[in-house]
Amino acid sequence: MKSRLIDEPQSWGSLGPLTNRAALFTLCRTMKPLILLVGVFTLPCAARAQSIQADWRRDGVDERVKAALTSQGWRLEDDGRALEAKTKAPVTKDVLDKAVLDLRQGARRAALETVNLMLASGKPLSPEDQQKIETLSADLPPVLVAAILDPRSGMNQVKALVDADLSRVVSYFDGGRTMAAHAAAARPVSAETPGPRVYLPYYTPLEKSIGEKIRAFAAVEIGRDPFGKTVLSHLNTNGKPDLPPIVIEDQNGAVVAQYDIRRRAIVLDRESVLASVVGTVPPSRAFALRTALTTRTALMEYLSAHPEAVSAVVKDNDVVIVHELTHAWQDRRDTIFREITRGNLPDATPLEYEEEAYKTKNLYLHSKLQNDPASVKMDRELEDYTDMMQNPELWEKDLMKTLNDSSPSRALPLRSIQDIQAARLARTRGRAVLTNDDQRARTLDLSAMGRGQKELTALKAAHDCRSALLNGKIDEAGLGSYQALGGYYLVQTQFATRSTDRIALLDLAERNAKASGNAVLIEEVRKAKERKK
Amino acid sequence: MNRPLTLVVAIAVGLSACKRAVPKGVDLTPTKEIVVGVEMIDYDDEHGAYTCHAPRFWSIHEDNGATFIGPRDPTTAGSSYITIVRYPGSSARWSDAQKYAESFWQVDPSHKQPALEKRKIGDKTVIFLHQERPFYKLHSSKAEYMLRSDHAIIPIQGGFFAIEHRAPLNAHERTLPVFEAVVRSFNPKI
Repeated sequence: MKSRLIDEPQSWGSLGPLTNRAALFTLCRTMKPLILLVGVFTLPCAARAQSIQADWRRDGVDERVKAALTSQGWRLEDDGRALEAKTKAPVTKDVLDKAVLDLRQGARRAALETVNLMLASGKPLSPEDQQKIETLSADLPPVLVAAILDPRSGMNQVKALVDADLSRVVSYFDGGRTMAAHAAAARPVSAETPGPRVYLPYYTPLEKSIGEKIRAFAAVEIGRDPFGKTVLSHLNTNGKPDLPPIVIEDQNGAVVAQYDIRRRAIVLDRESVLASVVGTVPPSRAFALRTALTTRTALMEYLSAHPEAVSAVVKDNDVVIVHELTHAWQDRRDTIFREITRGNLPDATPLEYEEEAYKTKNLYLHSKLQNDPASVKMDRELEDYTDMMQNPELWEKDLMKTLNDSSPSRALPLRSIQDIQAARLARTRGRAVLTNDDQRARTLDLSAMGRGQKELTALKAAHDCRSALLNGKIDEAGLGSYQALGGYYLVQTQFATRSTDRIALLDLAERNAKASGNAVLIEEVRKAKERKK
Repeated sequence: MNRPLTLVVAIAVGLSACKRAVPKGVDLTPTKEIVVGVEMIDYDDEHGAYTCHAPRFWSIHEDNGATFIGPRDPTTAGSSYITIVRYPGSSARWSDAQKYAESFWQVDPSHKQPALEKRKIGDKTVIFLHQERPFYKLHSSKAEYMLRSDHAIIPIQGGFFAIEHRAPLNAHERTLPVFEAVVRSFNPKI
């Protein structure tokens, strides 16, 4: 079944009239006796519902919501308990329901703002836009999706629907905010400070201990490479690399690793970690070990007792860790992520940040190929490096498109985020104020969001400079990539166990050596081929 | 003496005031050809480096080259798109069309160089090749579906243009004629 974050049009439709104060007043007056009667009978039930412990399996948390909650630091235990990120304690059903509703509202807001952006040009929607809307349809009100996709609908009618839906979602978030929250969001965030929403990612001392070990191994492994040392130096505190916490969580194998901007931690996928651990034992024992490590506790205990398994986790994932460390640097260097977590900027990842992280990890891989080819795995990351080196222009276009396709409302170019922010500012400026408190809240919000907008503009300029620098390094690396790959395949022949693999690797070494034009490498490969004969 | 002239001017001003403004969103660009049901219009590169026909209703992204994004295949959710990139003679990575065309073995899953085919189109000699590769989501090692890319490489004085059509393998034939129309109409200005 397709997972959906928002799929209950009726409940949303009923919220509409009740937001009108006059209608609410009339309704309350006419319905008062009935409301009282219903209240008397339902209060005990409501109290009971509040005290029921949440069971995410029973309460209909699907895979998508599960992934979203986990990425916010929740822990959904195998026994059904839902542990909250801040307290690390099991929560009641109503707390879980509220968290899920917040997620759904956030997803709806992002989807509506993306649609709003598409409509802003006044041009008819392109097939690409329509496809994006179909992708986002699970997060949009069905009435709106039907109107957008119906060729008979007028543009103004669709815009009015989007506007009304956006107003409801914005009211949902603003309605729950205290004046203190408005004031806290308006206070400037300086770089290098942790921000207000950082919760320790670890749930047990054992997890923390494993996280610390992975962190230490990663610093050593990545620090062995000259380019890796540069990456680490960006995270220096008092002259020493200060990596963010690393935690192992369920990502369902879809994402090997990610940087969590709320907890400022790197999250490694439990399934990928397990694959590395199982890879440390002979194939005859692999199945038994995998079966024995199906629970989180068993995996943690095994990692605690086997440092070689921790080392394997790092060695297998150092390239993606470098990618995530780049995001950690962005988080410390710029204030964008912290403004996002405060609600001052749209909850979207700038594609420019991803571009920087992807280029950095491929440059790290290039450096490893040159300095320690035996340490490079023949995997998807190596393929991505080869793609980038063969044609950096097409690779970059493809990367941007794949990212945006995978998340049309959350992976956006800076220009789009700036446009969404401008629309948010305009909406806030036009917000009705009835009391002095409303006035004060609006002033604080405008100050916070205006600052966010300025930070986006500054980031665009800074990114252009950084990108030019990285592109220069890629051009330089591109000229040496044949040589690096030739040397790599030559080294890999030593580890090949089958004769056919050795022949294929030698052929690749030869082709790359010839393409590089490096006489020494060509001669080395020729000798290796002769030895093989 | 001046009265008739004043009247003519007044009528002209009145007529122009009465003339209805073109509604926002209405595209008056003439259709140049229709290929497999896709309307093609003239496209001028933002830097004036070339002109070609391009699909009217596909999205255009212009950033260091142009990308026309077409329909999404419902089975795989992968889109068809056509990218045009210019490689000047000063390009750090590629300045020679033939060498570029011969480099595709690097990104082939079995490291085989795709066959090259040279075709004369008008006064241009175009190098064609195509390749099939698995598509992976980012940071994932699971192959989602097979992609097919068709390449047309057009040498010019000092460098070349590369036009790529990329689509899920099972859907690529639907938009291949659009790619061929882009290549056919491609007119370098440099």
